[in-house]
Amino acid sequence: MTRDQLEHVLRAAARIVEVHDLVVIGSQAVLASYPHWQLPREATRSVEADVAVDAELARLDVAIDETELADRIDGAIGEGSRFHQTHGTTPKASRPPPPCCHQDGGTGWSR
Amino acid sequence: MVVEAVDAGALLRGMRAEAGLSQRALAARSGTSGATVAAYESGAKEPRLSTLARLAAGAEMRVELRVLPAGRGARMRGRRERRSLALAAATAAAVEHDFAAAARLAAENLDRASVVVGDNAARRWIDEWRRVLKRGPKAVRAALLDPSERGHDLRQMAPFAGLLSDEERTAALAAADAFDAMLATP
Repeated sequence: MTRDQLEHVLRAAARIVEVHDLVVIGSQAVLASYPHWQLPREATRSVEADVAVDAELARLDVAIDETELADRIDGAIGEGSRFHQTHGTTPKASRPPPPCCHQDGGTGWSR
Repeated sequence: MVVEAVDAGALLRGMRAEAGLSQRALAARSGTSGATVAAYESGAKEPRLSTLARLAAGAEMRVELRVLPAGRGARMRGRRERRSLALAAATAAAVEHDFAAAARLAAENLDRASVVVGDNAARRWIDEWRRVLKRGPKAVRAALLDPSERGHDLRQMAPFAGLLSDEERTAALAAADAFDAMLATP
């Protein structure tokens, strides 16, 4: 996945849930810091971007079910969908994982 | 390179592709013949572990074996994986229902993916799917539902996007969620 493709996935996901701030988790998050041409080719291998809706970050009503929003994204443009077929890329949506302190220091995401 | 299945042929093919060597070149570097390498890769012959290590050394690699706990649940960590497997099961059913149509769609998707995909490892998965498709619907089912790490990677490159209708995808995802709910019920 290139940065353009990630942006396209995010725009599509944002339209579905009507949320403009999404969280990219996992390996594809590196594309936010570096364009794909500055990264090793392995970094563009994945066709899936792990995406989450964080109600607090997106300043949504916290009563909104983040899992339900993620399911809406998955249902509409997730794995095996027409979107996936047409563009070759797809989001894999989930609720945001709880942040934790990584054992080697810094902040990470627990699974 | 990590190969989950106990399949020396697949391991050798992947290893050789990664090293960018022909069968003959690998054979020359490993003190064997091209015909023997071909026989190992096709599964006609099974290499001894020491032979495998020598072939890996010829490709400037080493073999690392690990014995891990078995069980279908090994890879099924989490809801997302279960949802993905539910979609894979529905896809497998659709493939078996009309293999010719599914194979046509898969071929188109693989052609498109081979243009888009950037690196050799992803191309190898594309080639692997082409081989699986040639073996027919049962092989496709086995590949789609393979619970190993290799199956997980293969599913990521599965060429069946667009095969299921929105309704079929929704139903498969709902079934996975119902299973989750059942697991959560004391």
